Amino acid sequence: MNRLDLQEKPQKSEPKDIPVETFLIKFLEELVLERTLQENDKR
Amino acid sequence: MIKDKKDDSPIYRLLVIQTESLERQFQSLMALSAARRLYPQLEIYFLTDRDIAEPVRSVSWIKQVYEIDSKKLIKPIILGHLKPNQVIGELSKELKPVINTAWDFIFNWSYSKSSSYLAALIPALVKSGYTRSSDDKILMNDDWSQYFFSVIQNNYSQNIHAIDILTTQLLTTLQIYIGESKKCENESVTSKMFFDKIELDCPIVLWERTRHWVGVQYDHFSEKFEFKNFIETLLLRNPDCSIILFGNDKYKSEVEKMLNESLFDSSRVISEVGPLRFSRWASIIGECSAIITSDPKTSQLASLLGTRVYYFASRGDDIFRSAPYGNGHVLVKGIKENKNSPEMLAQDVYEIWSYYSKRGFFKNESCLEVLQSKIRPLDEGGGVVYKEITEGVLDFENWFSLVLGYVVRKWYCGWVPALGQELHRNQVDLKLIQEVRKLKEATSAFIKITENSIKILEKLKEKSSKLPSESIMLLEDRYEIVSLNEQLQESYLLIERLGGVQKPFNVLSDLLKGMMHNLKSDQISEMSHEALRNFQKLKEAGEMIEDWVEYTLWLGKPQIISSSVSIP
Repeated sequence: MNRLDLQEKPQKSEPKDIPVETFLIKFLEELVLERTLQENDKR
Repeated sequence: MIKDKKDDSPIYRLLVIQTESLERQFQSLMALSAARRLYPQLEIYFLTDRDIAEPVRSVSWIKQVYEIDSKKLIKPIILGHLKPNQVIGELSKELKPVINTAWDFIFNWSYSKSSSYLAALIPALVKSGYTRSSDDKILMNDDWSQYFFSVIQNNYSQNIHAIDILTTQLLTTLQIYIGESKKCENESVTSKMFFDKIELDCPIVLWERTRHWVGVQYDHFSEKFEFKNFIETLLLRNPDCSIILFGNDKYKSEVEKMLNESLFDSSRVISEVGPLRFSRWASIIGECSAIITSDPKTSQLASLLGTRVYYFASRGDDIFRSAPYGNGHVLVKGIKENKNSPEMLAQDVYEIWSYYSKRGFFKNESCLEVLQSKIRPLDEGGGVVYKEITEGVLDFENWFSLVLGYVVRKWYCGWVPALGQELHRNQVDLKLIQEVRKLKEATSAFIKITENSIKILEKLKEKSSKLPSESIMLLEDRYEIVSLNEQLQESYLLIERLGGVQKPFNVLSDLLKGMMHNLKSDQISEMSHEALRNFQKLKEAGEMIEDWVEYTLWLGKPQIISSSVSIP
């Protein structure tokens, strides 16, 4: 399953103007949400 | 890309982000193991959660493991002692070495919203999996990530194993950016020594290792059948076999009580039920000739170590994310829902084990669904499949899983096995034929909608490419563009409505949303070009569904029997 369509090259991506502080906060907020949901599912 | 100090050859740095769970960790390692053999110029790094880091720390070819202590980070936030902005200093310190490294590839295999922010923060030339744009939009740069987002995370029935998806995504990307891989003939990616940095820590003493040890995980599924009967039967009928029990700490006293009350030969039954260090867990599973479990983590670990797994799927279990991967594993469905007596189920569980390990007798009185895994040759579609002992009739949902697998392999891999390789006459019955017939009309409508959308997009592309500017234009040009856009929106709605009548088109509608969400350009002419390609893909999907419908209906037709065949 490793044939290619060479026309489909994905674009190069580098963080440009990424709001670092905001993304760190969002990461933590989402993580809290995901872990809380996981804990609830386990129960 | 950096250069090798010895011979100046290029070395590519690849970072995998996997912060979710142990079973995903094992799946990632399986995919990476295939890639490192094909691309020895890769340096593989891992970013993971400290709680699940031990397996990746135990593999010598992982160059470095970066860890986030998420429990420590989020605990004060959950308790309300700190706000997220008061914790980011600590988080930045943990992420600093990862962010300061020049990565060639990032594969975010966590497939979670939170991890998309991590992927966005780390610079790399190529990113696969979820990431974010600077304006906080979730992005998926490659087809398989869009498939994960639109199909797997929406819980649509599909038949491509997570390991096949990760492996194909990885190898496709590497082939595009690095080039053809080195030839690697039939080299196995599994090994008893997969975790080559751990010290073996097995409770089975050396002189007992010649026996066949069967590892049985005592778990919630064991409560459903008469576990004691199962062990007694296995020991009694197989003098060459011994059993090692393991499982969650909460079952420890229950298992000890059972062992104390039984008359098992204590040299043939060992209990390791209770908390296990990773090295001991992996050593036990590596030492056993077979593992009986309903735990996806154990199933994936045993797959890596090349130990045969008898996996008892729970209700609602997505088997293409939890069932064992490789040749010859056994997958059993329906034990939880079964209403037969625990004694009869224990007999069936024993017979399943006996049938596949020793070609014993299997009556299957509980009518469990028993399947065996097989890695298909490439000309039959590749990847792992699960087949019943006797191929049973397909229901419509499973039939469409086959069709969807066929469509996405054609889209993303560019080739598919010949139609008919995956569907046989004995899998088709009247009920399936009736369902497929209903789909026939909807498929024609779907193709017409996509054809119409393609025409609209061609007009939009032509119109927009002739505009001297996309921000300043004649009023009549603007009206025409708005009108074409409205017609396109109607097509979207029609596809969505079709999904309401025929479920298969819901999947295609969600896939379309994923594709359109990830258009790379912000210019109308380029966007309409990308959208045009997406609708062409949808049309192609409609035509493939049509082929499957025709083929299935043909299989359902009565066949003429040669006059030389005598009918008893």
